[in-house]
Amino acid sequence: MTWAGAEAFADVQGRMKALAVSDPLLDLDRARSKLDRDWGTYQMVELALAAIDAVALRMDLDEGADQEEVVQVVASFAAVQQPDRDAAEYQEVAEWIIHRLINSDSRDRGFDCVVGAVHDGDYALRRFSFQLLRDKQNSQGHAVLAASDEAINVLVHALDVDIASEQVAAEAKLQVLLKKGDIPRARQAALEASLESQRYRDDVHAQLQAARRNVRRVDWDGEIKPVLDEALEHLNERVTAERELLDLVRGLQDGPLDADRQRGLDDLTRLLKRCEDRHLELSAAIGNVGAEIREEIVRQVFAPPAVRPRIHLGSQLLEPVLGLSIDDAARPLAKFVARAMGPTRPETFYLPDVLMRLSDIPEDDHAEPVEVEPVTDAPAEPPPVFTDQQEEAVRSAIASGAETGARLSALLQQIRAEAETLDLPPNTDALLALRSMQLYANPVDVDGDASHAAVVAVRDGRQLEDPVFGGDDLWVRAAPVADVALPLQATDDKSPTTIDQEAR
Amino acid sequence: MTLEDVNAASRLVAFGMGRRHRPTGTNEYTRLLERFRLEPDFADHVRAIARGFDLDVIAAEIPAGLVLGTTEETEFKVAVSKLAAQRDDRPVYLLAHLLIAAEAFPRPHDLDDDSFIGRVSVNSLDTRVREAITILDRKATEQGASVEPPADQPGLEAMWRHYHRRPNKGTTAKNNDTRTNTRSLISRALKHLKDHGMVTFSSDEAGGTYTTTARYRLQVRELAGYELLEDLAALGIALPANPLADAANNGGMWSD
Repeated sequence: MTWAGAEAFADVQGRMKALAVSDPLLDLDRARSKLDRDWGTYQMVELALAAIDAVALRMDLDEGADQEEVVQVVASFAAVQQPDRDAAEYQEVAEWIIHRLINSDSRDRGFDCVVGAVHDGDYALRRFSFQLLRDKQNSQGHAVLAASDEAINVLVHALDVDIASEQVAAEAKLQVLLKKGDIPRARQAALEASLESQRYRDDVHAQLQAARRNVRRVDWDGEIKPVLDEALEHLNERVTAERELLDLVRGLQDGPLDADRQRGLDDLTRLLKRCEDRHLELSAAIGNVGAEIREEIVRQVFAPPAVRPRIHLGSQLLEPVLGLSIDDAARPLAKFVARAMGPTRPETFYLPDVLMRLSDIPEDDHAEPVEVEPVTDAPAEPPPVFTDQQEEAVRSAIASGAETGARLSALLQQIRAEAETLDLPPNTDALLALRSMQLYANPVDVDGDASHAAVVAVRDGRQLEDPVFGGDDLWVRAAPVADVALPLQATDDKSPTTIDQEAR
Repeated sequence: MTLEDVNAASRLVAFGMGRRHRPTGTNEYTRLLERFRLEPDFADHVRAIARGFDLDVIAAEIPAGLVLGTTEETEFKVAVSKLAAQRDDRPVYLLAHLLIAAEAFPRPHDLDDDSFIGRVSVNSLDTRVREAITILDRKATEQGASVEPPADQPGLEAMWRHYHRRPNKGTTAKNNDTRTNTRSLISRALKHLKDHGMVTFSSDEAGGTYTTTARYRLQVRELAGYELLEDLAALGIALPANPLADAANNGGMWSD
């Protein structure tokens, strides 16, 4: 076997690249996320080609392809493939395809593949990086989609060759097909010619853009002018050729036509018209380049050059900030956000603002909505301060003490000990003090027989010695009912014992 | 300078402050930007008026319009407490902003390219920072460093660890607090940027996908990034002098 030489291999390399470009498209059908979402029945490659097609055809001079529009086109293709799914799914599929074609998951948005190359007789593997769809800015500053050269290559199955000569070839082919009257294939050729005209336009624009960006380095006579002259000549030829082709199409329209043929010819006219318009527009733009560049020179030469370092946001800012403590990072980050967000209207007291704010649903409200309880007519009873067990303990303590007669201080000590053993709330002593006070005012029947005996609390001048309560140390005892009222009323001309809860 | 000139200059500043106006075709905004470009006196007036509000003119161009930058003094800057009212959410919310900028402009020259559009999505932002955090976590474990902050000083916890501990999304129906996980905080930051005309909503794909505007690129390039760099230097963070040269050697997580 003989080595055919580097030139022959360059051709292999070119085709290798073209194959590589189709790889991300084929990957779509193998993607796990496709299967996970039960989209297995869609032909994703076809949808992706439709997406690239839609973008390429909308890449008109300034406006570009709006993502929303492209999504609609792809969704309509998805609907054709799977008529029994719902519209929301078509939309999702379309968005997913575009997301994948932009390759948003990769940081530099590029697809990579390895292609062999021969340099000076040495074979080496090279990394070939390309994009399919990318975001670009239109004249209004909005993000629109653009198809890369590689993507258009996939569509028009052309290799990496000079665009201008490609255009000439496409027109020649179109002419032959039209003369033969092969309208379906002529239509395909016209579509290719239209895409070529777009690529050519983008190519010229990119060169001009680069020149404008840095006019100081531009060599007008040596670099720019020859390019522009050549471009103008090429464009004039194209416009002449397109007019000839349009004449041919008109000639075909004169004969008898069925509906399909008529539609094909209409499409051809439309596509050729578009090429012609694009080329005329480009000629006009090239005519203005001189003036624009001169203006740009004035601006760039007189504007002070920017003095600011280039920043690698990831490694110079984000990485160090991740290592900072929350406290250290707070202020610099807050400042960063305030700068990045730009100016905003300051907070002033302005009545419409207040009204607006009142009707706003707070974004940060963490509270979950709570079920509204039905409003009852009667107000709910407050929970009792003392439990039944406490009442019971106090009643039995007083009753047992009263049989022999007991001092309040002793009863208090007793109930505290009892409360502890019975695990009653610590305010049981307060209940005892309270009941004793009541006994002082209203003698209470002990065993339900009022004629027999009652429990009374009386004062005899002794002071209560207790860590919590103060006042008289009452004497609690049982007494015959007959004895109860008189001696109390006789002696009780002063105010009753006070029980202070100051320590509580 | 006549009163009309002053009026025109302040009108340009007003356009720059507003979010609804765009310089398109030959509208008034476009004509005023043209004057700014061609008449140095007029430009000085515009700058002086902006300075009166403690704002700097960052750029005056199409399509970004008059881009005004905030200073520390100005009344016209956003209050972080308004953007993230819950104090607990603030570190992640603020970090999300830096993350968005870093992912939208992955290479330094992306900031310089006038036609560059950055594209970010909520899920990939979260995934990306978590990848970086995994590396930091492994390094910390290898070095046996103590990553837990003192109990009484939660503010000493490292940002990456704080982020690490937050769930990225609700895992169960009950534990689905949709507002405090990292993805929803990133999503909130993007929505705020959108409200300020800094990004444009693109699609719902990957948790919400957004593209950057020229204005955002200029704010980050001319002001926000540079000032943060200075603040980090003030905190004594040693930065590689030339990150691109160094990135290849130190295996930086965010290098290309």
